[in-house]
Amino acid sequence: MVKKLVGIAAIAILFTGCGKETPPAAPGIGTGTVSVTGAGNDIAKERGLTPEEVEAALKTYPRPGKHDDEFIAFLSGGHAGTVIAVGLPSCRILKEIPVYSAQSWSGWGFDKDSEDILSEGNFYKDVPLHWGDVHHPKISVTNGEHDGDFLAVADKSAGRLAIVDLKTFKTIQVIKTPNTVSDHGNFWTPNSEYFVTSTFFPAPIPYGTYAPIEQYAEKFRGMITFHSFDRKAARVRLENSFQIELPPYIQDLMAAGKKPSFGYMFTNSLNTELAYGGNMEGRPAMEIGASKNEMDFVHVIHWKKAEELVKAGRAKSIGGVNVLPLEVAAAEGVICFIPISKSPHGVDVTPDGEYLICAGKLDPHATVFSWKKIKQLIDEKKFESKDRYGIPILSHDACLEAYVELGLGPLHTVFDGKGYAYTSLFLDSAIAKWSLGGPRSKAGEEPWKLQEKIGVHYNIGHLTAPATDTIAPLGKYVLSLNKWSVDRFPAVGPLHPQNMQLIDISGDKMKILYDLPIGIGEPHAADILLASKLKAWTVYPEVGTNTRTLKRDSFAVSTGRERVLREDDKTVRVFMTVVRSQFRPDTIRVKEGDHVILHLTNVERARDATHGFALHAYNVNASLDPGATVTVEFDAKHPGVYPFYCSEFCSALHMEMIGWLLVEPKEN
Amino acid sequence: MLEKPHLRTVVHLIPSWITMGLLAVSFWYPFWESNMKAPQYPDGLKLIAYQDHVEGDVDEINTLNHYVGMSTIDKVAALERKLAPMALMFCMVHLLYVPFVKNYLLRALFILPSALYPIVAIIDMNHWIKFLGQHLDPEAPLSMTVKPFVAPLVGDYKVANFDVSSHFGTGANLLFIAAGFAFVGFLTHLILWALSFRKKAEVKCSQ
Repeated sequence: MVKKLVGIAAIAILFTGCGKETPPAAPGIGTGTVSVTGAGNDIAKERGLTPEEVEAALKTYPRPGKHDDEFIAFLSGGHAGTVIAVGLPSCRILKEIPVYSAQSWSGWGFDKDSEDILSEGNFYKDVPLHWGDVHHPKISVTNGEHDGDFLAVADKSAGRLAIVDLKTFKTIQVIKTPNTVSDHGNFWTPNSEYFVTSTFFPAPIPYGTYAPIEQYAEKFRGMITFHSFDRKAARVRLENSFQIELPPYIQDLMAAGKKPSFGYMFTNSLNTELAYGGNMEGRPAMEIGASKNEMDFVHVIHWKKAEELVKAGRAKSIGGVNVLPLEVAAAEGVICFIPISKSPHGVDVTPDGEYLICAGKLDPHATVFSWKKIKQLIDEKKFESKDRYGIPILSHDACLEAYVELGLGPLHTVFDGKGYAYTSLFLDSAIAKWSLGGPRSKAGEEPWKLQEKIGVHYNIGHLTAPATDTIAPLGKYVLSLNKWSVDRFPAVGPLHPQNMQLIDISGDKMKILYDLPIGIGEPHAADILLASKLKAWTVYPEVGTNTRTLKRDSFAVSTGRERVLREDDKTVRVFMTVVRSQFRPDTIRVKEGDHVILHLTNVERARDATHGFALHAYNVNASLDPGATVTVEFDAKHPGVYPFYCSEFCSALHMEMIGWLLVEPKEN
Repeated sequence: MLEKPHLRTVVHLIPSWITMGLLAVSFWYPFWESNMKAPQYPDGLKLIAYQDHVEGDVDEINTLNHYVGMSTIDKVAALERKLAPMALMFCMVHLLYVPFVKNYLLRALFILPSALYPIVAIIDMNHWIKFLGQHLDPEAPLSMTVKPFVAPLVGDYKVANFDVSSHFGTGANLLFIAAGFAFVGFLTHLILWALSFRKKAEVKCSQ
């Protein structure tokens, strides 16, 4: 009862006073003084900068012409459907990578290959999706460490998965995950064998099946999907993938077990109440209905065992993929539950794989379970009870290692590799730093204890730290991905940018170094890569490379071989080279109604020699990078004269880089 | 004409073997290099000419040159590049034949091509470099910005936004040394041939 009141009071404060609240802890105050001589000192005085501010400026300042960023953070764009690459510590936005949403600058969604890639993710072909909700982009791993080769980008809104190739920073595949309406929490297995996603919203399976909402408990299901990744082909293969069917408890985020807990994964849920809303039908809304019970469930899933069971033929084919049915998973001990208080949010696994940290969300504590204890109980089959689906439940107290009071609204935990955990506190609008236990606890310090809190601006959701998901986190910084920016930036209209804050954790006290306004999306989470691990290309390796397959495009053409072919009385195919400063051929004659196919090859080899191909009449803006071959197709439905031009400034004669599409009218 | 080589002759042949070696090796090294620097090319552009082909940023240089109406690189000295291997072979075969030649004048003449080849190569190269800079299409887009110019074979100069620095490569240097040896050999045999007349005269007089 008291907990409920605290919860409601906190929510009330949030909506009445957010932004006007003083954060619980002042931003880290430096103990040393920074002295800059000469002009630097004068500037600091004139601007009234404190020593901490000067320190922050010096730590983040990117020197023009130098690659000063040690890390690249890949932020989710949220419902912008993009991934945003940000250099750290400068906090400069390097690129907005389009994934689920079209982007005319890069031609994404405006040429044949990208249209084909995007359409593969549409379940209903007559409802093409033009956006997505990107939450947790994840960098691929080899031997448990980032390899900088790919990004997996799941879509919460429609249950899709995309792969971005980090050689080209382009999306190369979009698929619709079967049997799910959402792909939310996710992680890579240690050698990127699988990319694992969890469904958020339960629904009847397979996708598109109808069942009355009152049959929520019987018919609605969650899914954990193990998308098999073929690294050589750089493609997800659904035929080698499998799923585990779960009860409709609304599974939230997940974490992978490491080292001793490898082979297991953990997710939490928030709806053991099995509520399904109905706020105009006499039932409470989801926010109340799903928050009634004292306990929800941490799911302990033995995915390695599930994989073996699937291989042994125990799976059913549903929606075109192998699904391990709930009954089989329950009976074979693939899943068991640990009760956890209220409706928790994150589950995070410590880098040594020994502990599970569950953030309370509506409970101001982080609950720490010991993997050793859990494993022992599972091996000895010491279960307390079973849920209505036959899934065994362990004793909360028998698994418990620590119950750490952190603050209001704990959500996610990240690690610095030095024995500390950092948990985001949404309602307190702060980050809590606390000591981990076990053999890694700092010498002489009490384990499982809150050390320090720093206020963030405002209402942090996720936080992230370099390589925090891996077995070797790098520490140095924490990124605070705040949901509200309120007054931190000049007003730019009612829709506010988000505030990404860079926090220095290298010293005794945490310090805020930078506020980055993100007015192009809502970053939920980010994955941070060492810049030295990126192996991005500057041009395509050979002239005529297809940007999707990264092999020679069968329609590539070299200088001197350009041609316009009339294939039949309805189709015209053009092989065009593009170079400074002309399209060759520059004049294309077609008849009204012709199906026109243009294969454009940028024959440049110089870095940054990108050309555009803009043809407004058919909504085309292709972007042609040096060496790339891009195909554009359309039906010339409207007669007329339509100039095309280079839209990406390319040379002194860019303005003269013009061509003509001449569409002759049909004779009547 | 053929006779068994003498020890003295063998010693005299060492310079011609060195010359042959230098001629051969020069083929594998750049003959001439030009480095071009401009603000938007932080790594610079390079043109590296070998005796039979050109390497470096040829495509990029051709692309830029078309704006000022300059010919593409492949169109100049095409014949020379094609003939260079044969010309080198010609010089080397004649050097090889020298020890088997009794007549000093003939020897001198057989050595002469090796002395001339590098000189001819430089004169020809200089001609084409000048040609490229002076024959710019007056209707080219940047004809108002870049007027026909005289580019030095070796040295620094500025064209439009580029600072250009050209110099001979190791290949040319090896050719010069070879030419030096060959010229000495040529003169030596010429003098020997001239002296041989006096000897003949002496012999005649002494009779």
